[in-house]
Amino acid sequence: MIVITACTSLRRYRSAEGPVINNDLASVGLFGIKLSPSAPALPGKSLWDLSAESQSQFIRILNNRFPGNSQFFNSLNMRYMTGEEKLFTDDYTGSDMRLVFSVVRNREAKVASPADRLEYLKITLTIPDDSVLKFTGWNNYSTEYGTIDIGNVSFTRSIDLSAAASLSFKNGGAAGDISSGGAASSSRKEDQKVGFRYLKLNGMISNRSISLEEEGTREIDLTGNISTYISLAFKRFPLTIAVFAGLKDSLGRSNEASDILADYRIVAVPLMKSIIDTIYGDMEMEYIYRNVKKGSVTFPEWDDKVVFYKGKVRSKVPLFTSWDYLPSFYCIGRDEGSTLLSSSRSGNQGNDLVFRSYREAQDLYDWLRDQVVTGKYSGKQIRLATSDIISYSGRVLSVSDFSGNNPLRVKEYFRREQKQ
Amino acid sequence: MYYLVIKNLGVEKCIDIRNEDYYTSTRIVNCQRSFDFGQVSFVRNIKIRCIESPETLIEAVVYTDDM
Repeated sequence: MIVITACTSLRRYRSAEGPVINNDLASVGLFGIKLSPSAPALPGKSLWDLSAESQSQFIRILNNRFPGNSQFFNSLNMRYMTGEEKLFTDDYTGSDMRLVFSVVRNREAKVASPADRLEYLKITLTIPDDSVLKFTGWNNYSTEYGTIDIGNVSFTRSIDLSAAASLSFKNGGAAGDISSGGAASSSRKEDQKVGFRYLKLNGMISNRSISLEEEGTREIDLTGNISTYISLAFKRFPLTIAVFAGLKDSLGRSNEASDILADYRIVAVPLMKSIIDTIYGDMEMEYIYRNVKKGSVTFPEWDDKVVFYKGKVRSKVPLFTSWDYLPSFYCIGRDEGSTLLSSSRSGNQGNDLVFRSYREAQDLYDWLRDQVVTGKYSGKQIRLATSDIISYSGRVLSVSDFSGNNPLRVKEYFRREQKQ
Repeated sequence: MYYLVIKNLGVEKCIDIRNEDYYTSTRIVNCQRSFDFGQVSFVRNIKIRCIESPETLIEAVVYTDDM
């Protein structure tokens, strides 16, 4: 025997119509985009990477070794097994973004009632096929499910047993009957909860698009914000960055060229022919809207007469501006003309000198101007300790390179006015 | 002379010079060098790979000053 008790809501609605197409009942916006270049993980391990028990033991050891307060506190931040430490990130093509999708119901719509809710959402953000960007990861790899209790079901089973025995005897003149009997019963009851699992949040990611979908359930409206973290990367283009050391001595005086060291590192920058002001993506939202035609007076939904509306909205959203993805590198050249100060080593063809910061470029510029304008290296080859030869347009530098209408100066390597 | 020129993020540079027209598509070239080039005329567009990141095809232009 099955008994259904505590039946809260086995019905989703009283009656339903649709789906009817209507694109005006909801909209989606993308805001709160936080952009940061992908940072390399800190090398090595620290105290805080250990388990709880190991941490407490390690803290006791540090406390014994560093009795002074400031030494002890500093020791808590030390990093171990760091290996060779990198000074800079070498990859300028990755970025982490926090996307916040804001879903809004149109409460002014003609059909709207107070009991309406968004039943289902699917938001897709797509990068155009010809774009140089691609999605590389996010934080929504697991699907979130929710469960609701629909009701309780009881199972009852009972077993009744009975036994009877009788015996008749005759012995000479005596005769009689003996009988006995018994009965027993056993019952078992089992209660089960009936639940329903629904899709709270599910995501799909590919190189060109990310997709988030949500299912609503009774009395839960999907209007609101959905936040997700994603990683994007540009296609990579190699660029050589120069690092100069030993331009000045400890007293701030300019060193000789033979004391200066030059080193080069290849970094990755976005591969893009021209600088694009704003890179856009295409955002689309599909939704199912549960409109309560009758029954909005009560909170429970099982007595509602509903109409399901299906809609789709699309928009173009900005993902990056040139300020976000363009690395700030500097070089030494003229305002007019594209030739840059370069260096060459051991007879090989030179590289344009490109620096990570304005300060590094300016330090070299100041040293060169001092050495050339004072006559020390005017018209003469400048050879560094690392055998690099500094030149401009294949020739040695002279005083005229630092004076006149169009002198050499420090300038941005990537210039935003050079756009398509 | 033939000049192989690439352009990235608005910066154009000549990365190779040859006496003959040596340039074919998918050739692998050192993209870190920089040569001066003056008045030249267009020959064709090709796609090359840089030694430093050979996984990516990069658009390049072949020019010549042999008028």
